[in-house]
Amino acid sequence: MTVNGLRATEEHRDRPTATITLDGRLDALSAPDLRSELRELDASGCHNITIDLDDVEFVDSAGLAALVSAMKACRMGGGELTLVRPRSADAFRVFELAKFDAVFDFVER
Amino acid sequence: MPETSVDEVSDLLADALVEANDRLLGLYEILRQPVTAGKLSELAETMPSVIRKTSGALGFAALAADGQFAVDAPGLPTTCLVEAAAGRWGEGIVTGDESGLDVDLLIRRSADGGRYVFAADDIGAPFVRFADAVVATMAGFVAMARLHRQELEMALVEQDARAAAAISAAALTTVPERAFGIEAAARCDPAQIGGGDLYVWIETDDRVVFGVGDVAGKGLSAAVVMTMITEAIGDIALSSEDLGPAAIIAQLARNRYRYLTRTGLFVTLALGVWSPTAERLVVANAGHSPVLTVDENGPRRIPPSCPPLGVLRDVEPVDEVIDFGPGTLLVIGSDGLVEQEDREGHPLGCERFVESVLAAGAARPSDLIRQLFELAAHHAADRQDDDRTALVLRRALSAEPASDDLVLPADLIELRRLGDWLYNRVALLDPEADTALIASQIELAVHELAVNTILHGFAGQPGEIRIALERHGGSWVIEMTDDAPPFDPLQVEMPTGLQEHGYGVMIARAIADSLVHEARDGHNHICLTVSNEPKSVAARKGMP
Repeated sequence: MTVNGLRATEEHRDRPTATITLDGRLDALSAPDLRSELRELDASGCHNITIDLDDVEFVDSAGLAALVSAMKACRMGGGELTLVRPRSADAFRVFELAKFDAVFDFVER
Repeated sequence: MPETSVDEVSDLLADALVEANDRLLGLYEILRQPVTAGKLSELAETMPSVIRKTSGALGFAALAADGQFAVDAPGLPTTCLVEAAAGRWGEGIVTGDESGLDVDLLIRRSADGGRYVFAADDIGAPFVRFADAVVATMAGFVAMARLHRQELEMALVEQDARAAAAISAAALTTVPERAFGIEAAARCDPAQIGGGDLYVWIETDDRVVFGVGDVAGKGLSAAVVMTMITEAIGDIALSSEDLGPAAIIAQLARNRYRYLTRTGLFVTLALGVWSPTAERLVVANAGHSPVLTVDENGPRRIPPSCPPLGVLRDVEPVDEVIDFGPGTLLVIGSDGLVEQEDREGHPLGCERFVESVLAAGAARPSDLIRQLFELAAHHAADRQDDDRTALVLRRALSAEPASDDLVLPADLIELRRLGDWLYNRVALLDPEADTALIASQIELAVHELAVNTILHGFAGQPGEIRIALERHGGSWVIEMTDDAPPFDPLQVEMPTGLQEHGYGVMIARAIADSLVHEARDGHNHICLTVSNEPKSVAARKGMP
């Protein structure tokens, strides 16, 4: 899907793991769409989710909040949320500023 | 009345139970048949035999409303059963004397308008009750089969649509907001069963090849062809820097003619090439609409110069050179925008499309596209008949001085203009500064504060936020002014633990050296300063 400059690609939705690949901006405009996708995954029983932020250029606090919500939902379901670290230093800095660089489980693509 | 012994009664009861149980088993046998749409024809062959045997009938026949006939009546004349099922004797019991057969017939109307015929030696009340139970069971059975068939078809359509959307989305590239001296934007909103629209943006060192296409048809087949065409355009465009859009289209039409004719699909395509060093924009159009440019002389449509791909093997499209001076606009849409019908079936039309482009004035390409899509959505009353796609280019106004202030409507999407404005403003005010770093840090801080103002200050009401950026000594001073009801973002409580809100102000504080809010003269004023080496970056440098 492409909504407001954010593109999410879902894979393996019918299995208990899923990868969502984002690019563009994860901000207050696009975060509700990500939340909606994550809610669907949660409802379908998928609690091991990887969100690939490699191509994301901008993340704001609303995007961060959507990821926090996803992490909580995954843990509540007995799974884990993994984030692929954004290539853009600007996009990653928001995690550092909000002290979430140590909270999320980041991997390199 | 002769006296009956207990043993005799027991035997009678046992016989009755056995008989009843047999019939219950018969109904059970009917119901346990797998109800899947794909097995209906198979069931038509086996069901008469199951019904005949379990009902104790000598023969059973069924004639469906669509003329399909199934029978299991060994030793009986089939033609007589066909006549009975066809309505020769209506419904009810027909004796052997009436039918000329050695057996009686029980004829019942089926739920779908056909008839069932039971043939038996003696059709008494128990037999009739059981036969009616069979008829009722069959009615439910057929209804279930139909429902299953519909669900299966709907599931297949949905699966097809999902796959098509995923395939299409994967093929689309990202269009930069600004590159090669032009501003650009592209968007493709697939319809529920879409997949045929495409846009391309292929950059090399010296030029960019771009375009919009539409594969006739919908669903998975259109999505697959769309992906193939998108890849093929890239391959041809990258094979030689000398190929103009007409040559790319001609080569594409020739290479893919056989494939497209075999699939029965054709593809409309408008391609362009922008060469910034030569300041030359060339466009070729193969059956696509709408394609138009807008400059100081008004709008001008670029009509097709050849048919769509897949119609002819050898085509000769024409390269049209566009006078692409600063501010000139190029808009390529798709029929999903201009042909979108309203509730009464009236299409949006090219004229309204062009009017909307003109009304947008000097709006940025992304804003223009948003307005065009909103126009189509409004016209359609939120239905969507086809994919909607647009690609817009505008030659940047390089000579235009950067505006002193940025005024943003209170709409989250407007915040996406912030980055470009800050970048230009920082570069203008301090050419020696690390423009990208400074602009990105200020953007994040201002963005967070502005989101708070839009969501909590204006809270859905219209309004504006004015942003000014100045350089003072070693710092950048940003002033944000809005006319929302007094709202001090600094009063927002800092988050603790893993809560999901409240990080915006925390982030702005982490970037800014100072952050002050003041409500005066009916306005909110927020002033923040950011040093030339933002503390957010300096802190990171100091980290191990």
